[in-house]
Amino acid sequence: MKKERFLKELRKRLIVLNEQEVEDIIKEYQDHIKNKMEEGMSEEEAVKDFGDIDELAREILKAYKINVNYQNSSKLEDGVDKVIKKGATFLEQLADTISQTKKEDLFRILFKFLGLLLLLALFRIPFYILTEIIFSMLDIFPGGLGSFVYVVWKILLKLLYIVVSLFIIYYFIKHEVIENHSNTPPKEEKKEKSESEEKETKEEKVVSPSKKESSSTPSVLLILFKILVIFSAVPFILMMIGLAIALGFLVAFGMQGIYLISLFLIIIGLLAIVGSVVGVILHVAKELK
Amino acid sequence: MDTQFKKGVLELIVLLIVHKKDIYGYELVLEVRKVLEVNEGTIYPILRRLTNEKYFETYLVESKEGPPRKYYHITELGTRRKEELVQNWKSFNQKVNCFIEEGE
Repeated sequence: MKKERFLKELRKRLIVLNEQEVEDIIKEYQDHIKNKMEEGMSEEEAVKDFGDIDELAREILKAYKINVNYQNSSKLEDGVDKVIKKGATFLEQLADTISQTKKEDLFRILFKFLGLLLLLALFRIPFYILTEIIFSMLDIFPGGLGSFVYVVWKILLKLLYIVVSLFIIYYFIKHEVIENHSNTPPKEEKKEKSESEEKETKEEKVVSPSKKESSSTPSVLLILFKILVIFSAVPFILMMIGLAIALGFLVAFGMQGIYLISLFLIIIGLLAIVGSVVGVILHVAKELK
Repeated sequence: MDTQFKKGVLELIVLLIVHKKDIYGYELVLEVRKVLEVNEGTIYPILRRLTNEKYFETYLVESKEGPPRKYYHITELGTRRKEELVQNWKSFNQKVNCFIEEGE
């Protein structure tokens, strides 16, 4: 947060005090930030050292024996409040930085954003594949049940896709637009990242490591390439699964006295080939990380 | 360290520092941080509280660089409060030490 914003926010929270007192307090914080900056700290860092602004305002008001009872609201309200506040600060930060960004930078970011949207569109393909696989598998179920499961599955996948996309866009904006323009080490972001990583799918994880790298155009290409590599492994992995099942059937046939030696050999050969291809792809993906 | 515990100790340290000499806000923050790893945000509210409770008085001094600085000076009441907290701290400290030695 910038100094002006911080002081404005603090002033807002101290509205119950008389004007002279507020001016006095604001001046003190202003001096502190100024001193810090003279020591070579950035504005954002100096502000960050004050910690949570709500907590700070509460402490100050306590000094005047004013008890602001933040615990009044229920936990759910608290949570909703926090989410709304977080969203609001995010948007404000976004507006802040966009207004300060140079024209070329803006175009660059816009271009990257378009690239990201394209990627997300490509990203739908595996979801389609998954949907269709389930559809063909559900033929085993009798009539109504199969189509019901199919609809549920489809909705779940769509939701997953939307959630993952939103997360990616959110982190993209946060990283590209906001983090790029402040020198603050993104401590908070890391915390959030670890939280969200639990929820997110592996695809998101593929994207996140690259965010730590420099955020020039090549990194977008790198992400694109990584995703392509990962997804090219999908058909091969599925093939492997199919072959393994076929092998299982052959073994079962063998136990019942039906020997299909040639088929058996073909499948083992195919398994070996596909397995090595998957191995190579995964190795490449690992190297890229 | 536990934040609640820190806050208690913080008041004592602030009183001790201002008792040593008159001091302005930022300098005090630096002094405190020599002893205690605290969030800077928590120091100013304590200064304010102690001033409101008449433990400190403030006065302005022109400074060469920038606007005048607000200096804090400890009052009679503040000195008494400091003595009280020092006593509390010493007896608390002694008890805890005894407890630790018993355990060893």
